[in-house]
Amino acid sequence: MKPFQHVNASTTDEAASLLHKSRGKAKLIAGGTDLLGILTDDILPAYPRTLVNLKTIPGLDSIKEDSKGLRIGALAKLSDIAGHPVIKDRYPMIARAAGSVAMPQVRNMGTIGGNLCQDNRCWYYRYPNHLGGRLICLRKGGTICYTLTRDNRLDSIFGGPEGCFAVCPSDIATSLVAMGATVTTTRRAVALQDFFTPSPGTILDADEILTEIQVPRPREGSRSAYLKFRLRKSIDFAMVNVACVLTVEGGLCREASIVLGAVAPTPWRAKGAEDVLRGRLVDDAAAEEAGQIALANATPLTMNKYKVAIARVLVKRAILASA
Amino acid sequence: MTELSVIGKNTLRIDALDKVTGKAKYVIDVMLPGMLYGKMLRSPHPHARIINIDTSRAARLAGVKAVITGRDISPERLGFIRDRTVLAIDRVRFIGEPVAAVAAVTRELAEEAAGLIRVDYEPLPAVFDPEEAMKPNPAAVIHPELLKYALHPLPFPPYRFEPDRPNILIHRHVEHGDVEQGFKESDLVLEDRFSAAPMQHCLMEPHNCVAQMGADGILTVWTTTYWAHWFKAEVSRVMGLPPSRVRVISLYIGGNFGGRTTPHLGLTAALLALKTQQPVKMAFTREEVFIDSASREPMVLYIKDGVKKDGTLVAREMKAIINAGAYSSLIVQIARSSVFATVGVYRMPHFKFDAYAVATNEPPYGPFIGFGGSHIVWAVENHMDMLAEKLEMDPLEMRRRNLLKEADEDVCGQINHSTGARECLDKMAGWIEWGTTPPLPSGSWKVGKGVAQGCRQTIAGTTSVAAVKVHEDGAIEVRHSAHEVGQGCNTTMAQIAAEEFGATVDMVKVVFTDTAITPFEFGTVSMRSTFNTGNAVQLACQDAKRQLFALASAKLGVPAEGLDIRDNRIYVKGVPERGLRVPELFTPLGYLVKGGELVGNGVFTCPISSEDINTGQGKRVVAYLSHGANAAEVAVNTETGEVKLLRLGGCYDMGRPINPKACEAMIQMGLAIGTGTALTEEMVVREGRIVNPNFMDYKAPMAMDMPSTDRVAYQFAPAPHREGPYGAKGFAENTPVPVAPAIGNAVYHAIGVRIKDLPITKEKILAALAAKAGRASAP
Repeated sequence: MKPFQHVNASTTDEAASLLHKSRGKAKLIAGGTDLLGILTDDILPAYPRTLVNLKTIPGLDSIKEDSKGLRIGALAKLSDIAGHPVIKDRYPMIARAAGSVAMPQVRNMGTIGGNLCQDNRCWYYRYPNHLGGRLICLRKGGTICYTLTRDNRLDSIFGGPEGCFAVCPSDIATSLVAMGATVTTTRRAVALQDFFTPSPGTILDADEILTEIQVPRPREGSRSAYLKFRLRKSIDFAMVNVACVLTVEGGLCREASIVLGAVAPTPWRAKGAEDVLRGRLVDDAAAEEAGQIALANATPLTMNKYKVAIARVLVKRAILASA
Repeated sequence: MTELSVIGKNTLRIDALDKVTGKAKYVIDVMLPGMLYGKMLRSPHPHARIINIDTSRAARLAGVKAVITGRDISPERLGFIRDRTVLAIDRVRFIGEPVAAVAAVTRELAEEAAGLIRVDYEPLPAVFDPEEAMKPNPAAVIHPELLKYALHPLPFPPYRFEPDRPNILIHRHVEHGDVEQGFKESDLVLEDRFSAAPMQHCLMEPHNCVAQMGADGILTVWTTTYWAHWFKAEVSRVMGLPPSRVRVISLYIGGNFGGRTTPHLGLTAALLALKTQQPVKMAFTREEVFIDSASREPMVLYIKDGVKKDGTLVAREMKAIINAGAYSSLIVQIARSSVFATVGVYRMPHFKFDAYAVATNEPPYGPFIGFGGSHIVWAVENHMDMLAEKLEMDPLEMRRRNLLKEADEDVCGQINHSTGARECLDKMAGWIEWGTTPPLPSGSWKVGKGVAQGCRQTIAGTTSVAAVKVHEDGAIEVRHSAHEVGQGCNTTMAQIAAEEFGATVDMVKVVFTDTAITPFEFGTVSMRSTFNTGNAVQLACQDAKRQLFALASAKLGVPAEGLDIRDNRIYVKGVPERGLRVPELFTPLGYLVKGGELVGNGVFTCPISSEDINTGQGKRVVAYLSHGANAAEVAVNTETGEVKLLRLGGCYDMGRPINPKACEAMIQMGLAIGTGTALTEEMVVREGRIVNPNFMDYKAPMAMDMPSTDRVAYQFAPAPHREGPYGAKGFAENTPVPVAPAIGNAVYHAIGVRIKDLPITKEKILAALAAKAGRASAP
């Protein structure tokens, strides 16, 4: 790792102003579980001179519930979210998603804001500099996307609108988008699904900071399921994850919200699958059909067809689990 | 055999307390005053000529004490085929090959300085696929000078270059009978192709070292090697220092599994220490371990078997294509040894085997627990099941019919001895309840069981030396140079000494692996320590006892052969009350009037015969074989390709377990490595680049991925070896060997598709199921 300055911010305004003044030479640090890996492996051409520490900002880690719903400070730790009694009780899918991230050590350090803003996990993007030099891929301003011709087993099955096929790796994002979450930054308030962009990943400006996540109260009678499919039972990022919220009344589906993660550069809403469920009896056949529709438009690369099959099954299972 | 009091008893590891309390010292703990930190600069190209290296900016950076490149070093080469210089000199042959190194006052400065070195390369065509590389006119010749390279003088495998195919580093050929005739005589002939991915050793302690040039002119290197004396000789040769001026110390080492083959790391630190006259520490990052520590080689295997209707094997022909990567490391030994994984198991009247180790522009591959045998067994044990299915035979019966027994001659011409194979198989069959139907499949989960047999040889003709000093208080000090890599060899040696002296283990002190103090040792390789070092320790104890008894004999007036020792007391056999305590032999000041010091010496060399270069035939071409069998029960999800390991057991033949608990731990290790081999572990190498060089993206199984303790079995089927200490022989390297095919066979029995390329991933299962469904629905 190279030397850098470490500055404790006491307010989000101060942190934003430090970012602004640095002209791109500063990075935010909260839990650091993603950033430290990036710095150690020195994967980006620009190395920050300053790390602005958000952990010293009071109150940014609060978790509150009011009549509208849940408000989670960007600095709330994943382990606190996973174990929070109100979240476990009324927003269980979020607790499950937070608890599925990595391992206890990472959840004890990692924050929800960091999880939403984390960089992608593409093997080529992350190739360490000290093993013969980092790779300047398309996303870093180069001319080649290495995954296309070399190994794309973990990449997007729904294309790469900006030429990069890396997937959004966040577990939490999938569940929050399915819950209709919104986020507040130092500059704006947007629906979470609009917060993500294919590249560079989020809409955040260089001096903008994510401060809070709001989750509306689930509809009366709604049920949810979050399923994460990964290679090993711990540590791993998702190969595919699915969040599903269903409101079933009198046996029929009134509302459905189905989001897939790790399948596209941003959380992937399965609108077609939601539409096919509305007004229907949620049974095996409906779930199966929804799974088929959710993946009907998939455009897998040479090595990741298996993700389509797994995603299809996961959608079906999530629907049945939340019916 | 007489009643034993220590051997065969569960013994608390003598290093356990130090290790769990953090007191045990590893190489990474070595910190010296004035110590510098070294760092290598690595090649971005898989194959390129080095045109120019400009180190001036790095050298000017404040805090940088030395910069060295290939031009500053001796052209002496490393490896069994001496093909690799410490740093690349005029050509790089893999992405990540070290081209320069710096020493600086901090690690960060060393990294920064390495980044300031400018290297101009002229890229050359590269070749990555060994089957392409081994053709007569390959896209690239990795070592144009191959035929001129020197060979290491140690016990060397029968050796063949193939001058017409310049990337073949070695061609190993074994032949017995006439396979063509055998296939003609067979009722069924089946052939197939199998392959296995490259793997990491997943060592807890990354490779590291400290080198110091002492004021006394002695160069000391603390390093994570598995053969300190070998490394000492390499340092002496490459650096032009007399052996007496080189000292190698290894301390405790955090894991081995064959992964300690990085002489260039210690030598780079030594060169920097020599240049700066300051101690230099170098430690690989985990990523560097992935790219530059010679991990498990990928292999392609062709197998053709001929059998009679009753399941009798008539002929077997195999071809193994081993991707050696850019440098040979120990690959020639792997090419030689792998064959015994089938030679040692089955009767095959006609047999032909060709192994080719092929140089490519991938990172160098090398020894990995199983040493090529795992790959051979992967092909053989899948194929045994496939043959049995065609013959409509029970696959266990098929194996039993062909297993070699005690005193049988194998196809290399060796007479089998110490053969627990059949008992291993039978015990595993019993444990997995072979023949009973697994629970009925539910939904998309299908259940199946599988078994596999395997064996691993230990290298013959190697030597271990040990010394045993008896202190004035009677304490026994064992000096040996096997490496305590976590396997428990220090405890094993202490048990052997305790048994010999009628003492308890706490009366034994173990001094290990410091070439200035401890005697010669071939190396902690080839699961040879218990057998070879153990024999040397036993002989050294016997020598020390002879000397003790001679001294006591004079005092007691009884012939030495009439004496024995127990609890620090020498006594007259049959008259236990007559004797003396060991301290009574010493003067009050602690020396011996006659002899000064009481040190026993033991030298053990495992017998070896000659070996015919053209056929691989010889009377004693391996030290011994350890046999084993595994049984697995899996559930496979046909929708997602998931494999759940429901049960996994292993039973092995270790001749005699010296410390049964330690043997169980070894089996645990083997089952975990075998599970990773079977299901998840793969270094993804694309165009010469390892793209998943870390423990996030490389998927070694975690505790949660292994079956719970009530669903595993660690069993023994010991068949004592007449030359082993108390009948013991090594077995640990065999523990992962049959695991992958047992799991593979179970997967097949669950879902009816066979994955022939390791690891058995979800993608491969889903693709195979889809292909099978396609075939089924085709008109």
